[in-house]
Amino acid sequence: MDIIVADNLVRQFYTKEKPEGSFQLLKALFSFKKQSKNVVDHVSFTVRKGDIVGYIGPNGAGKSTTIKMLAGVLVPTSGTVHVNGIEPHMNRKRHAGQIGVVFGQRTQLWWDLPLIESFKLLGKIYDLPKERFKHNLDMFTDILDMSSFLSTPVRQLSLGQRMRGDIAAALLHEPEILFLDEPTIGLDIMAKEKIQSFLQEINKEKEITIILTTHNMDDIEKLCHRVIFIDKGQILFDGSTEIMTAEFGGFRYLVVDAPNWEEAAWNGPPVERREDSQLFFRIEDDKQVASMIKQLSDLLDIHNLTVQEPKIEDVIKQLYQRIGH
Amino acid sequence: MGKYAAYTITTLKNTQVYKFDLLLRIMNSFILVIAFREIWKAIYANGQGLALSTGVTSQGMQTYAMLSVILFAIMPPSISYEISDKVRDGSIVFDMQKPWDFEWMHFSKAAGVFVFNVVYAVIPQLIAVLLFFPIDYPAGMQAAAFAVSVLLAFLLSFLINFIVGMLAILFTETWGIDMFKSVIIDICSGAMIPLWFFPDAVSRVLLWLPFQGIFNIPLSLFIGKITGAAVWEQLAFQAVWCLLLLLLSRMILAWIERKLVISGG
Repeated sequence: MDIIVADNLVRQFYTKEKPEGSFQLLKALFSFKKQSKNVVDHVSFTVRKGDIVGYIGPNGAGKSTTIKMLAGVLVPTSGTVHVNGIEPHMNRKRHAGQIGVVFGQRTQLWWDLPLIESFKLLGKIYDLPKERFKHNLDMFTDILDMSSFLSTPVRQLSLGQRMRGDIAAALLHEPEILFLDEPTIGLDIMAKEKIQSFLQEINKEKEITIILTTHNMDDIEKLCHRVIFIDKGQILFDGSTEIMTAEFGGFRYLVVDAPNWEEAAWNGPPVERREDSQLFFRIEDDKQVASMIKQLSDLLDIHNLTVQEPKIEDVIKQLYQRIGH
Repeated sequence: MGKYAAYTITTLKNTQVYKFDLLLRIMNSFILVIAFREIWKAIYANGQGLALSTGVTSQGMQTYAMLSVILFAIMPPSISYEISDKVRDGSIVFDMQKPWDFEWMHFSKAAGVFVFNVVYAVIPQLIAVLLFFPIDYPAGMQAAAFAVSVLLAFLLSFLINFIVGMLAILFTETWGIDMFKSVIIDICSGAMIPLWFFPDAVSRVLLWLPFQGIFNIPLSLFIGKITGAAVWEQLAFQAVWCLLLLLLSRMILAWIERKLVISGG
């Protein structure tokens, strides 16, 4: 079942045109010429219930603008969105009950009050019956491991703790869809993994649909079934992570362990990446492998040698490069 | 209704976090109370026949000035900076995607701050003023009218604030607009200088504007400059302006919700 249907979504923003020539400042003061720009430019996609979709792209690609339209806080310039059959901005209050929103860089928690106060208030705002509120709160406190800091003022929480609080806050009213904007930004590995496994769990158990924007490839690798890649307001790729790897991957790395490699004296094939003593050489075609090993063993003292599949990160880098970033 | 009450209570809890800040604010306000009283005492001591020409005695004027400072403390704080900050960093989304009415939500918040200010600022200050200075205070119906008038003044002030805050969503840069609002209210409401000291033509115009409903009317009621049938007239004046501004704010809110201009890509 398609829970989100976006059809030809466009969102225009206006920027003031900058006058040219002499007296620029003065002209700018009295100029009302506007330039319009499609931040989201005829975007169409559908999302099935229970999917985890990674919505990725460079900064300013139109990710947040799309999310804002799906959340019903921004009206599309043209095109339509339906979430569970509702047009979000036409029926904002009803829509609010079926979605939860988390922004990694901002918080909806009350900065100066104990964390629990924000939860209590949200329970009231969403008119949750007492038992259901208590049940949900206990459950999230348990799986997000929040009991030790429930009564700590939010300003004293670590970023990881605050993030868990924000995610619980977005889920207390049992929404069907969760929008996450960079949920793991700035977190350490432990905190990141805690949040990733939590998201997997609620997705599996409650069939919550998750739309996730991120610059953290780890999130996509671990969580997403599907990736939508957007740039300059347009969708450039939409499909499963496997298809993406096949289409934009299509290469492998020959990884050579050679401790006495010197960059200045090197005249062999180009080294794409270096991790400690490991050198990464790119192979577009499997037929190259044998000849490259031969070439390298002539030039280097090789301790170890492997062939590796590219990580999603590499695939995305490939995508970025192809669109000229 | 429960959600708005809960929001008021949470705001109330939130305002009580910084105790030292509160203490400083009370002291600050009390210094102003004394300063304004001294200024008007000095003016009356040097002005020939002021009491006669204005119909307000020196003591009445001192009361007006002191109460004006105290009343200032309960007027809702400006929300335009908060709103424009939220618009700029995008966290306005959290407020916009909740199942509540945006104006009611802001009113609940203002109400929380109001209760806090009455309990922690106004009551201690009133007690201090009553203990240290001789003032004339109203009784009976006049006192009741004053109380109603203060509530209406609060409402007026909230609505003006909210409308200016909505403009913050449209323009994102609000410092100028908010400054303009503050200056207009300070001067046109009678908060600093009572309207009867303005030139006739000016005060006649100001008496038709909503701003005088915030300070001039409640303060005049308190010192007994407005009495009898005029009391009802003035309360009605405040109520009518509240209604007009409420309508205006609903129209602006509806328009903004249709447009919803939120920055950030």
